[in-house]
Amino acid sequence: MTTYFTGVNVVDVRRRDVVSATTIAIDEGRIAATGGAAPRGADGRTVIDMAGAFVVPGLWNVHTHMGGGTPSILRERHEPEAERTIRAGRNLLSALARGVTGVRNVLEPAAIDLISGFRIAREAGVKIVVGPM
Amino acid sequence: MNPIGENTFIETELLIREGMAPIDALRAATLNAAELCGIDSDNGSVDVGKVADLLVCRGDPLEDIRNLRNTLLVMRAGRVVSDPERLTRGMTYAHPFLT
Repeated sequence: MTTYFTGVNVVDVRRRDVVSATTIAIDEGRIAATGGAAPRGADGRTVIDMAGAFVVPGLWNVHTHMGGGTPSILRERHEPEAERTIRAGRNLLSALARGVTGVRNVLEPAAIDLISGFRIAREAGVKIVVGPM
Repeated sequence: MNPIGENTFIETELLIREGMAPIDALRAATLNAAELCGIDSDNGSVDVGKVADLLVCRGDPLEDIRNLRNTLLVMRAGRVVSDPERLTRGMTYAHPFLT
């Protein structure tokens, strides 16, 4: 099923340009088409009118400690692995809700169950690239 | 908590404050980052064939980069993961971890 966003202004970071009042079609998780008028008819289509909205690529943060944010830095190396792992999931889900669709995770200074942490985040939808650990 | 989202916004705001053109700051946070990770053929820009990772916001982010904070919709790999104003009723994916 194809989803269309209509009336959107698309920020094209590759060409350093903005395409105004256009349409984006999304199908099978990918961008299927850009430009053109809104499609007619509703069979197998979802059309979402977003007149005036701006579309930018999902943001990336390429220096992320996904388990970071321990309440006390002194505790960091001694905190339970599960605690940091759960925090990693929470951090990433919260970032995702704000538009950060991808992260590159680097050095985790304390113990983290990275397998579970990555699984939680990937299930939620965050794209993760593993950086230097 | 590590505010990854907030940090990402602040980084783009600081790049612009120090003189970078808004489109380049946005490119740094998207396409250039994907290039760094070696996955820019699949990610990092709104181009046909790429993975549908999108942030839809209210207001022109090139006029004021803080408009990125006015979230209308977040899509990751074609799935709606954030929809604060319920524009896509019924389409939003809620992770079991959150429910």
